[in-house]
Amino acid sequence: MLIDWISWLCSVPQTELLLLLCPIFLFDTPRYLIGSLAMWIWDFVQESLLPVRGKESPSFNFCPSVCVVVAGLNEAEGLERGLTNIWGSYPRLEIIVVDDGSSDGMSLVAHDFAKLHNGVRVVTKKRGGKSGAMNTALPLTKAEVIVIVDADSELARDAIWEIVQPLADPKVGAVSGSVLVRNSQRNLLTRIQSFEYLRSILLGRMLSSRLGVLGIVSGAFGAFRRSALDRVGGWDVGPGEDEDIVLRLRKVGYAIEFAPYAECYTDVPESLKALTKQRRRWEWAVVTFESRKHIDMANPRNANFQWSNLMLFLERWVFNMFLPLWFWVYLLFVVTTVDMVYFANLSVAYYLLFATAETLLWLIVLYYSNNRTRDARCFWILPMLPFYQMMQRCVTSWALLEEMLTRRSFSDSFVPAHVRRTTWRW
Amino acid sequence: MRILYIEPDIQKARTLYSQLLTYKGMPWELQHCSTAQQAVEMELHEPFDVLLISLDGNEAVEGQLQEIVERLESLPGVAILNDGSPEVSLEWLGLGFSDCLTNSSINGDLLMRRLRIAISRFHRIKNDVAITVSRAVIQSSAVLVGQDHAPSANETQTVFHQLSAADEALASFDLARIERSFEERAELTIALLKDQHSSRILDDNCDHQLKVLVFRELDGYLNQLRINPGQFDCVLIEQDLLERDGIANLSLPELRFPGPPMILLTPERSDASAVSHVESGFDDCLLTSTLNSPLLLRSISFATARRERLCLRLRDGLRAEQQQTLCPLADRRNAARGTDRRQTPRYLVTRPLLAIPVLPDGTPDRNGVCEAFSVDFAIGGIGLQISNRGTIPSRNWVMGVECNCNDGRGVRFHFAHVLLKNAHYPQGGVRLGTQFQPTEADLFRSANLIPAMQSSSGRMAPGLSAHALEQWADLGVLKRKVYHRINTCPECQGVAAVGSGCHDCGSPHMEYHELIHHFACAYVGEAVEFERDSMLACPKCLMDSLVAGADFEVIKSQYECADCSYSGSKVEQVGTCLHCNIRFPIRMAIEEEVVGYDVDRLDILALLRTTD
Repeated sequence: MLIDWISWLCSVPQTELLLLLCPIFLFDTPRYLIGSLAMWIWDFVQESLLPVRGKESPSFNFCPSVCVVVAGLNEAEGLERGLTNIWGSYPRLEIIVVDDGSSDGMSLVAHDFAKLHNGVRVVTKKRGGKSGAMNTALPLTKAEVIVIVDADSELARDAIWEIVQPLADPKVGAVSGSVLVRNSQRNLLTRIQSFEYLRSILLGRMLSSRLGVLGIVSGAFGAFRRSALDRVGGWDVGPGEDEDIVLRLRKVGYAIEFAPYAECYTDVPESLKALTKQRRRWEWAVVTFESRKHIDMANPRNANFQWSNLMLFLERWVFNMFLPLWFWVYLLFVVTTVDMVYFANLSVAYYLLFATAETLLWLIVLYYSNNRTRDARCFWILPMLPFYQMMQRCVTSWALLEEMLTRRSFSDSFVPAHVRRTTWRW
Repeated sequence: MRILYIEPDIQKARTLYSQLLTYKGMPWELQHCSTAQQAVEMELHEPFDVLLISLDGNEAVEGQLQEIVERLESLPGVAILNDGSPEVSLEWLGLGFSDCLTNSSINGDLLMRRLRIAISRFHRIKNDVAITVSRAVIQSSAVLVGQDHAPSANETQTVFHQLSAADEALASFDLARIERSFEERAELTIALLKDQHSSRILDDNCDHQLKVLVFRELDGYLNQLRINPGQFDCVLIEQDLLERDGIANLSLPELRFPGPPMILLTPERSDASAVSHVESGFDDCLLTSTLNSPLLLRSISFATARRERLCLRLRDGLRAEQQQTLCPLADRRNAARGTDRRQTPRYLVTRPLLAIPVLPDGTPDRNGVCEAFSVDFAIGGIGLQISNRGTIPSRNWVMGVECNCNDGRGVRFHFAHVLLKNAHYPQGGVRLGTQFQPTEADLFRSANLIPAMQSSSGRMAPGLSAHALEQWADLGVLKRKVYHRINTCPECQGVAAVGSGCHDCGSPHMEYHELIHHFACAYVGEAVEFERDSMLACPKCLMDSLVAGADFEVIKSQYECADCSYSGSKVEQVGTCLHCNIRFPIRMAIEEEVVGYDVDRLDILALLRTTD
């Protein structure tokens, strides 16, 4: 069988083979691979020169006052662990826990914690959505930097120190933290997601940040300049409020940075259903914000137009909207024009190419990783990633179509009904 | 000092005014008018301190004298006469003038001194009369109540044993004595205390109408006064004696009104000291350096004349008061038909009663508790008869009436606090007319039984003393009842106000942040940020006319402590002692029962409804 496939590969002319393999770019892997490789080469060269230039030791020179906002709904279970992890990790720190109408005793857990720890405040409000919950903390603090952390997340040591350093530059409005998977050992799905996060967040955002086109700060862990938040009026109604706030900050001229070693561990969906729901939401936000709400950012006639914003939008439009849909056209073309044997051989070729690309990415991840032992364990799931990518492609396409055709995001229960009724439909 | 001067002759008024200009003792103001009518009108519009009137044969003024005399009840008057004879002066004094001067002796300083003394004397006498009348009326009532039933003197004293010592002293006040006519007496008896100089003056010039007794010590005079209180018509006292015996303030009751008038002989020329002496009780104040026989005799006769006038006023005042306030039994017609209580419908209902005398401190007189029976009931009081009793220990009684109010609790006593209005002494007992105490004087009023905050102790307690309440409860009149269960201060057991306080310091000075969450744009800000032109508008998305609930919610969970700057949402339940003002966590408070008392009150209408 292998011999058959090799003989098929050798029989195909090189130009045809390249043409047939071109649609590999319809997937995310090459999207990250090319840039990451370039970045790695650049960094490798720079690092090789360090003994000549003198090694720079990392230092935390910037120490603004920080308010960590932990907003959540029904997050009583992991809250205490998260708060314990945050409390005392930074000198000028206050913590505000906003209970957005929980019914599982989240505020009680928070109050119990606050009784024993200074500088912890708890706000309990009726359910009004995550954006409202995070905005509630803003009038209550005078901190220079607002750090948002999901209630079920856990920060790595010095994570706050790391995430506030880019804000020493007054042009930087927000900093994205590096979100990693805490429950990676739970099942195959979470293990795959753990590598996906490394690839798309650690490498992807590092690259985007260096190119100046970073367009998202994770809701799980991010830092915002207080004055920048005040300028844009805080978060807007979600879903996808983390992406929306970044685009609005970019619109008013702030730069967005990524702090790769400000690590935050969060729990990812453990079931396929939950994962699908999460990814659909992410895709809805892309359509809503990049093609509707903030479309003016890509308009060169706009007063606030920036080329970096246009590049960001082009990247999103191509990789997040056009290629996922074009994949199905290509698939239909292949299925209808080639026979089954040819199709099978082609699929194997795709698979090997994918696997090789993922392996290269894994190696680059290891190069940048803060915990290589941990990340090296992802090796054995690399062969499964092409199948996962295919599955995600299906989910993405589904989400894109439903948002484009039905504006599905506005009926999502992520935002309470009474808020959905009053807010704008983009 | 404001002087109202009545003088028809303008030239004479100017002369007097120029004489007064030499006086530098105190600020003064003279208002002149020509007629009594004008004077009355002026006095009505703006008050004066003294009335000065020239009575040197002015027929116009004397014709209007009645109006002037009426004003003298409220304004001291000094008359200026041409004729210096004492008889004329005494005549004017008898009409109510405070002093009389003669034109020939007037100078600015003397006139002002006499005016100031007249003012002081007037106000002191007015005060004495008021006090004496009020006390004498009490005493007269007491006598009259007893007289109606012809009790023995002892019984009268028993009834009114609760009268104060001061009232008892006034029992010796002899109304009849003040009615004696001075003209009928052959001579004036003068007590002269201590002095040699004035003694010589009196000895040299004394005529047969003056009898002078000289006392070297104050005690001697007082002893004589106790033996024969009405012996002296006037007392002359040397200031040396006052200074030596230390009675400058005339605190001894024997020296106060209604004792004989006193004239002070003083070497001090100061007007202020003379005025202060008159204010302290002397009728007049004479300078020893200018003392001569006519002046001294004139002063004595003026003092006795004023005294006579005062006594006559007092007698009239007393009679008027007595007519208004005496017990109705003083009138035989009233006695025949009972008290004023009997003017309301009365119901002849005989019920067993429990009569409990009330002592002045509000406690029951356990020895005086007796059984009685009702004679009649009225809305205003109860008539009752107590058998086998000759004396009445108190005017205040608590009456327990046996009632069956059909409330399922059987027959029991219902109580009322009554005041004794009259008493008869038929054979074998005493029949009393009583009147229910008005609410404000009722011993069992709510304020006395139901616990309330006592500002002095900072505790919740009934108004009546705990000792008295317990005694009433022991007798079965009052029933103990727990009214509240409160948190008290751990330090002083004072009542604590419980409320929310700062988590850190317990201070109630918390400034809450009232946040508004606008749903549409998720903006959250202080409420004041949303206020615009009497409506609410979002400062972020500029949507206006926001409707609470539909467009926004109010988040009120954060506060800032004004005392310790703590900021947060955690509040403590804090107690603040209303007595010692300390703050403490409520878990440290001492829980305490607040006990009050309840009484079955007598309801006359309910009683009558259940009576066949």
